[in-house]
Amino acid sequence: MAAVRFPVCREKLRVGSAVRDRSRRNNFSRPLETNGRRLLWETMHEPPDSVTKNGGQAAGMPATPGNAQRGSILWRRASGFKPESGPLERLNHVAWAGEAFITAFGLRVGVRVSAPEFLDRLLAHIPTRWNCALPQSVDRIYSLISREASLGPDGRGSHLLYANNQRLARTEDPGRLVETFESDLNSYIAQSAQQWFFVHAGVVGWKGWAIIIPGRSYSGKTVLVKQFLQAGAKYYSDEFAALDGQGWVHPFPRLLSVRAEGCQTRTRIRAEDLGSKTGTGPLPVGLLLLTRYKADAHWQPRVLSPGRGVLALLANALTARSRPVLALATFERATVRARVLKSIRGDAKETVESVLKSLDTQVLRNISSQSANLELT
Amino acid sequence: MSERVLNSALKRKDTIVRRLGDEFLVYDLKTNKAHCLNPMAAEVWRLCEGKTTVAEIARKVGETANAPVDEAVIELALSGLQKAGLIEQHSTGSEPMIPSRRVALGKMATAALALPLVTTILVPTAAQAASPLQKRRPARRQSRSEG
Repeated sequence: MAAVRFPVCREKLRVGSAVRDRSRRNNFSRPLETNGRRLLWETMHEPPDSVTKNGGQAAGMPATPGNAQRGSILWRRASGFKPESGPLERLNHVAWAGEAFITAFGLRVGVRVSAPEFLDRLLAHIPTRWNCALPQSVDRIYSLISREASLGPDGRGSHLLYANNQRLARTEDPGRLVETFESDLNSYIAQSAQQWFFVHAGVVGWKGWAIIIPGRSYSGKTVLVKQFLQAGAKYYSDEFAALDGQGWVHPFPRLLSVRAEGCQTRTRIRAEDLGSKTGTGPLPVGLLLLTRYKADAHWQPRVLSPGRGVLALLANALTARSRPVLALATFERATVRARVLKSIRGDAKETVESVLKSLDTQVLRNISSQSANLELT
Repeated sequence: MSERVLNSALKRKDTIVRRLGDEFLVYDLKTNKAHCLNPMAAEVWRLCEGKTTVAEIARKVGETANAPVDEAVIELALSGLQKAGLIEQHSTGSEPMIPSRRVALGKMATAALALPLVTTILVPTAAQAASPLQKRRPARRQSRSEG
């Protein structure tokens, strides 16, 4: 067996509620390319021949080449954490086949899988342009154990997904597993990112301004976003408007979840598949569209005050209740230069054409003049 | 009506208030409700100090707006503010007659003034605002909405 070298650094890194000891991780890693993006470092190891559910190396014991070659990530006990009683300790003995680290909105998330083919599949469902990082401490770790690795004596098993030490899913459907991962990751980021506010909304960019369509799930956001993209707008999100402290909108470009005509099942597509581009930088809010779908309705908007726009953002914000002062200030900044339009809508295409027409002729002109006034004053 | 004194028209203390142009945004920390007061409602709310009569409020609002404001409009504003929980008991003695919006609109001296309006929403918790997974969606709703 070839000799295995270990890093000399023994820095303890906090990972979730546990402390990871870097010295017990092998240093054989290589860059991993996925979807044209460089995604950090995948631990090289021998193929996982077995999963040690209750065995393997115990926490606090010296690392051995055998353990390192299996790519195990070992954890040490944190104060107040009972490794024997929680599943995290057992998870730490699983032979992980690949891992990835992501940073987004100031949070660091780790993903580890027992079957390498799952890594690409999971990472394909994180919003594009999220930064991938070198292995480091993380705020949350997702652990996916494939069905093959969790087979019991009777030959039965399920795919398992954990977030830290909490099991999120136990299913035989890999698609369901990926969906759960994506949903939980998005929720976690949206609820945990400090200095940011996430509002349930579809967002597109149009001529340097953001159009926000606040609304809960199934309110028709994605249909409108898709139509805007086909009209030439830039894609920002079909799920969250990520607002910074100045009220500017940042991209949260997860895959669009669209439904084919006459079909109830959804498919996931990229904005580029619709001939659009994904926005890169933050944008000021130019327009808030408060709308819901109603069959045979027509887009007949009325202009609402900025205050009503703030209410619309508050009604769809995830963490406004826990930070009301900051939320009010942020949403006030977001809507101060925005036009707020409200109407029920019917056909998405008719709505988008009408909105863009009025934007080009009226809203942008007003906003530009307001901006000029602001600069003068 | 004009002689009636608002004994307890006190603004609530457990609120966050922000002024946005002519509007007031009020966040009620007790109920987690957010209110948007249009300029007329905001002005009435601002004048509710616990010792001002309806007639005095109507006069002061009229001075600000450069147009006479009927007391019925002020009663309508107070009713909306009380419903929103933004003022405590606003009258003693006999219950005031709350005019309908249609009646109040008829008493507005000029179309330049808007009727008082208090818009209220309940700010959701993170869990309430979170998206459900696709497959948990009730089947009957799939056929009703487009997206």
